[in-house]
Amino acid sequence: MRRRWAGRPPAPTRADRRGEWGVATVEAVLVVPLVLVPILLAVVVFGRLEHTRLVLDAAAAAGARQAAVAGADTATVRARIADELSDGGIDPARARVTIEPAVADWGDPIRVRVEIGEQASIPFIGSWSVPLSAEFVTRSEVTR
Amino acid sequence: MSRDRRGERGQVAVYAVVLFPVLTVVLALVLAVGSLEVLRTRLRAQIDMAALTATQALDVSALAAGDPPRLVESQAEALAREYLARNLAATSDLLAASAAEIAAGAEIVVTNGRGTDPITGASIEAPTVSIRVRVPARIPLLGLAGLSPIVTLTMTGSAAART
Repeated sequence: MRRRWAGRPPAPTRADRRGEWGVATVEAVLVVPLVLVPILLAVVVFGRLEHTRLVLDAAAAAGARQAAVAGADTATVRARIADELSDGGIDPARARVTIEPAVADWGDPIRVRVEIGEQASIPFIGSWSVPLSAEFVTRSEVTR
Repeated sequence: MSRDRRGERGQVAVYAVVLFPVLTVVLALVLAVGSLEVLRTRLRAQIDMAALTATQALDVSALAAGDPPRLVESQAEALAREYLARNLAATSDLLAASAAEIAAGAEIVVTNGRGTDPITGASIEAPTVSIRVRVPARIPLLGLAGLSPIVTLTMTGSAAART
């Protein structure tokens, strides 16, 4: 119900003002941790995932080049991929590397795939395992 | 209700109605631009890989006769297209057209003489395969930010056969 005053409305009492401050504080307390912090963290977590994606791409591309020269799934190819991953700050033991076929004759395609399950967690929202992968196809340069 | 109280209510509405959707759109845009740039990097690597693979189409008889290396143009172009499609297929979930369609529409130039690369503009000193391709990419997060989710990226790349 709306109250009407003849002249100016009465100045807010001390109790009213305390109430206002309380509302603003409650809003800040709710909005900052529940909305702003998760949004900022989402950006950070996403950045980390994209970094991993870039490292996987670089590793798979370098591995594919090496595989074309070796013409097979060799220790050199796998070492090259592991080097690229650890240079990018990823533990090579966590990655799964597939090189198909194991032996390729001249002109045959070779597929190199690097996969990893990256953990992404945002406080208050959740935690997921995000599967990331990179794949390149090249052609064997080795005549057998 | 006093004027002061109306003011308080307004503040709550600002948070609920303006701030939250704006932040969501900003977040979607940040993530969309990030994934677009990562996709661009990946496409560049895929185009490079296709061009590099195509430089295997050397004219073997000319090489055996002791001539400087030269590419068999039709073979190099076919290889570039084939391996562009094979590599793009690994990213097919982010593409708005099939890998084969995109590769079929690619502009591929094989240059044996010296000169300027018509696609990248670089000077050519060895037989070169150059590729320009328009890739329609699907970025669902752009749709969340109220923009068209399909962005067409035009990318170029080249590789030279050197001995």
